[in-house]
Amino acid sequence: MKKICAVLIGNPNVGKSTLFNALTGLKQHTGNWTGKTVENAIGYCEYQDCQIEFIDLPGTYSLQAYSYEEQVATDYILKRKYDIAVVVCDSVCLAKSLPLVLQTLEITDKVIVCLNLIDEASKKGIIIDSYHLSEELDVPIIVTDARNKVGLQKLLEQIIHFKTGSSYLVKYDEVIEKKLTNKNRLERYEALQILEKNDEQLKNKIVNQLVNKSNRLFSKYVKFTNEAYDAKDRKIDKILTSKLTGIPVMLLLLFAILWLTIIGSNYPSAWLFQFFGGVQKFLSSCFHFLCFPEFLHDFLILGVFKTLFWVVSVMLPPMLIFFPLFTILEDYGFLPRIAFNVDHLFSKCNACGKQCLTMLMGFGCNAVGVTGTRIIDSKRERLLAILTNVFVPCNGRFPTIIAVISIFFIGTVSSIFYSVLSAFILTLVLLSGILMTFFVSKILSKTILKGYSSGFILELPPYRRPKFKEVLIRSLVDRTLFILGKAVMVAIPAGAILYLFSHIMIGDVSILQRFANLFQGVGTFIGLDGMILVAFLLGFPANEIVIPILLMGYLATGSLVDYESIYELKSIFVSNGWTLLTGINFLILTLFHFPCSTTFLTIKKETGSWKWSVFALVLPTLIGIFLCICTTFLWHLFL
Amino acid sequence: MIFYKVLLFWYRNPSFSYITIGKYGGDFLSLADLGLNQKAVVKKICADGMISRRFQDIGLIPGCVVICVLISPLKDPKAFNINGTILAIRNIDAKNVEVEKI
Repeated sequence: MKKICAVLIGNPNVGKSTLFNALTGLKQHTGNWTGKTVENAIGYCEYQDCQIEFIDLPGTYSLQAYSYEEQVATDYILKRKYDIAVVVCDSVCLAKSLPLVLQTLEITDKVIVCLNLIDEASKKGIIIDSYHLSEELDVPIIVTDARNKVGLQKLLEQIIHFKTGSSYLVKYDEVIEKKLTNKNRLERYEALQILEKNDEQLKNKIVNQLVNKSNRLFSKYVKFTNEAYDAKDRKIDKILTSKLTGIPVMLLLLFAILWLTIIGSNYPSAWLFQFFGGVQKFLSSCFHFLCFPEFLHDFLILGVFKTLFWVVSVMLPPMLIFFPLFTILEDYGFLPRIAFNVDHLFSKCNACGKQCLTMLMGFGCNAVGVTGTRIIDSKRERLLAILTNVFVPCNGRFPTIIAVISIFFIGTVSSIFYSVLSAFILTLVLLSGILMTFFVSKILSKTILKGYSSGFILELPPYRRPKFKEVLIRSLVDRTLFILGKAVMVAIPAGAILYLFSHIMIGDVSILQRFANLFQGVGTFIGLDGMILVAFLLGFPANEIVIPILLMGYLATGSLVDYESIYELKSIFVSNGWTLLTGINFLILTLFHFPCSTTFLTIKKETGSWKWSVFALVLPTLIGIFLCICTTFLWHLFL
Repeated sequence: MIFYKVLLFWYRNPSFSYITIGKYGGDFLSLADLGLNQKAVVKKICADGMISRRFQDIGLIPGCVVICVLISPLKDPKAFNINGTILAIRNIDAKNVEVEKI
C-alpha cells in the first residue's frame, strides 16, 4: 500500500479542522473562532489502496513564527518530511489566505490549494475564477465545502495523483532578486529569511511586495456580484456589539442560558434520582437474595454505587443542556464578539483580550482553558490567563453550585419565579468569578507580572449557521460523555475509599470524622465546618465528588437517609448545622479554591515551572479563605 | 473658497472633528481616529517589532483600504474591514498606523 503524508495548513478559522474531520472521520473539536487547534492532530484516510496521513496544523497567518501555535505550523512546514502541503483557504476572504499560499510556495513546490467554504462564498455572491488562478500559480486548486462534504473526493484524487510540483515563484523587485541567485526553492527561502533578519527596511519591502502580489491576484480572479455581501453580518454585529445593546444583550444571553440549564435540568435530575433509587433497591434485594455478606453489600451499594449515582444524576442533566447551547453560540461565531465587547476591561488590566476566550473554554473544563491560553502571544499575558482561569467554574463545580443555590436559596418550590431567581443568583456567582479574574489580573500585572499589554488583534469571523444535528452529537459525545466518563472513573474508586474511611473506626470515631475534627477549628473560624474542608481537600482529584464526600461524612454515623431528590439534601445539611452563611461560604469556596489535579498538571505542563503551578494552587485558595473570613465576620457583626 | 471647501468637508463628514486628530499620540490621522463606517487608505505604519509584523500578516500595508465597521461598547477596540476580513485592533496599536480618509 502506498503511503502519502499530507499536511493541512491555512489561516485560523478557515475550516481546516472541519476538513480534517471530514477526511479522516476523526472528531477534532471545531468552532467558529480563531485558535481552536493548538497542536498538530494526525489522522488517516484510505483511498484507492493508498493510505494518506493527514496532519492538521494550527492556523497561522504567515510562516513567520509569532505565537506558539504559529511556531508549530512553521516548524512543521520547514523542517519535517511530508509529501504534499494542502493550503486551505477561506473562499469568503481569499485576500487573507493568498499570502500564505504564496509563502508556502516559496518553501515547497508540492502544494495543493483547497478553496474551502465555497458554499458561503457563493451565497454571498463571490465568484472565484479558480481555473485561471490555478493556471497562473501552477498548482491544482480544489473547491470544497467540508461542512457538507462536497469536493473531498476530488481532493483525495488530487493528493494521490499529484505529480509535478509548481513552477511558480514570487518575483521580487530587482534589488532583492539580485541577492537571491540560488536556484533551489528552499535555499532561496532561507536566503530571504536571512535578508529579512538583517535589514528591517528590506524585510518590510519583501513582505509588502508579497502582499501586493497576492492582492493583485485577488483583484484579478475574484469578483463580487454583491458588494454588500456582508451587510447581514454587520447588522447582527451592530446588535451584539453596539454601545447601547452590546453588553446588555451579552448578559441577557448568559442569563438565559443559565436559566434554561437550571429549569431544564430539574426534571431529568429528579428522574435520574428516581431511576437510580429503583436500581439501588433492586441491586440490594439481589445481593440479599444471593446471601452476600452485609459488609460487602454496604461497601458496594452504599459506598461505590451511591457516589456514582450522585455524580451522574447531578452532573449529567446540566451538561446535557449547557453544552449544546454553548456549542451553538460557539459555532455561530458569538465568542469573538464577546471578547471584542469586553477587551477594554482586559486592556485596563494589562491583559490580553483573548483571555476572554480561554475563560469561556474554562466553563467546559479548566484544564482545556489552560491549554487554550496558547492562543495568547505574550508570555506574561499567557501566565495571567493561566493563573486566573480557575476563577471560572468548570462543569465539575457548576452542578454543585446549581445544587447548593437551588436547595439553599430557593427552596423546594419549583415555579418560574424561583427558577428565574436561581438563574439570577447563578449569574451573580459567575460574574463575581469574572470580576475576581479582572481584579487578580490587575493586581498581578502591577506586582509580580509587571508589564504592558502587547499587540492584540482579534478576528471577528463571519457568522455561520450552526448544524444542529452535529452540534447535538458533538456536544453529547465529545464533551458530555467524555467529561462524565472521567468523573465516573474518579467516582468509583473515590466512593470505595471514602466508604472505608467513613466506616473504619479508630476508637469510636471514623477516620473521616477524625480528619474532620482536625479541621473543625479552622472550619468554624471561616464559617464552614471541618467536614466541608475535608471534602474540598479530598475532592482534589475531581471537584465533582465534593458533595458525595460531604454526604458520606455526614451520614456515616447516623442512619442512612434514602434521598430521592436533591432537595432532601437540605435536611441533611441543616441537621449538620448548615445555615445560610454556610451556604454562602460554601459557594465562595467552590468558586475560589485550588484547581483540580488534572488542571494542576496541565498548568505544570504549560508553564513548565513548579513555582507557578504551586502559586496557581495557593492564590485562589487564599482568596477563597479570605472572602469566607470576611463574610463570616460581617455576618456575625450584623446578625 | 477655502471656507466653502471646509463647509463642504464638514457636510460630507459630519462625524469628523479636528479634535480627534492625533488624540492617541502622533500628530497624524491614525487608524484609531476613524469613526464608524469611515473609509481610509493606509499611508504609513510606524509601529515596530511584533505588532508591525502582525499588521503585515493581516494585510495591513501601505496602500490598503480599511473601513471602520464596529466600535466596541467601551470605545476600544475598534474593528476594521481589511481585505474583507473583520479584525479588531486596540486603539493603542491602531494609533501607529497613519491613514488618509477617502
